[in-house]
Amino acid sequence: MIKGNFKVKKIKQTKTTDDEELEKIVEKAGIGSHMVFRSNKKDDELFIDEL
Amino acid sequence: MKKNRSVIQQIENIIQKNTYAQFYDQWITNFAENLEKIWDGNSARDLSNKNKKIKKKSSIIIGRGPSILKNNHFDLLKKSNYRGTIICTDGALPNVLRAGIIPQKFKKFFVVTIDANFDVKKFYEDKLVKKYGNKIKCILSTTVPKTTLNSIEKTGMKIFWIHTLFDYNKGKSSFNYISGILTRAKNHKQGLPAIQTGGNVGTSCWIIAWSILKSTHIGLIGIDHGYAQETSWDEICSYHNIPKNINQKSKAFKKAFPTIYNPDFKCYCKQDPIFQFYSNALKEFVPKSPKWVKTINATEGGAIFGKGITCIKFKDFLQKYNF
Repeated sequence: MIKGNFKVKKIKQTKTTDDEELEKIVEKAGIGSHMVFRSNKKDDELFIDEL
Repeated sequence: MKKNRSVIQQIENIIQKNTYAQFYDQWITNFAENLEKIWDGNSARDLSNKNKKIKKKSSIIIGRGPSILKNNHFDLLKKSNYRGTIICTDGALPNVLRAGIIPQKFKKFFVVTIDANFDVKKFYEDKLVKKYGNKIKCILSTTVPKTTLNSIEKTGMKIFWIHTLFDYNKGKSSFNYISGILTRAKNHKQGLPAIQTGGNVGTSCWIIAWSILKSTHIGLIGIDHGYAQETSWDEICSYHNIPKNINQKSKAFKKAFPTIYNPDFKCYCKQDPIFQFYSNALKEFVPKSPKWVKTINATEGGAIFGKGITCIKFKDFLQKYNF
């Protein structure tokens, strides 16, 4: 039986420079007039008749 | 060019976070200041046809994107005998009236405001808006500033309230839930209709058109969510921010400010992060709307195309959907 004794090096997911630069640009690009609403209950996502 | 989902997500996450940080406290304050008027006011539900059977009805949403002047859409509409509903974004209203598109001719005439930005009130302080206000119905978010509400009231517009959704997914602790309960505490026992805004007033108008006004065919003009290819970056700066001192040849810049191809109108268009945020949401929501809703982009340019969206010339829209 072969015993596994490997030290598995975890690969950290690092952000690329491109991603960081994109974030910086978007941060400075301003804000929306309002928010885009997200919901897990998709029936409620576009319109609720009575709230 | 197919957009990378992670870029779309990245842009949306940042803009959502910053929009929330900017407006959350203000939305609460505005709602509190408007509450007495909301209790004593009309629900936008009053505008819905009580008959649940869907009948063929057409609406035109008017934004203030540059395509409207470029393609002479005001003139086409003014000279038409269009019998459907006009739903104007607040920012477009003064120019719409100035172009001669007035409620005396187009009887079913609405304007929408969802924005907490204090500058919006200036649209309602325009001379022509005051002149024609009493013939226009205003659909208004419960979270607009009191100063905006005051300016609207002075025009004589009849106001119909809606809630705008942003945190209802957080359940009973959400501001949307709490403001709903507070609204029901007096007069509005059934509450008010609540809409997805898609982040901006143009998309809010589209939602209102089918969900509240029950329009089956919805045409868009002046809703570009982008700039014509020939627009210079300097000019774009006058609409939205372009951060200074960045390398405009970098990959990141090209993702944030892409030039995209509209295959239906066969033209290119430039976008910025805010317009990407708006257009990605609208393009996602159109296919989720009921099957009886037909969305027709008649801007003759811009970034709105894709599944469920028909792109035609405005002249053709006026002929084909005049009901």
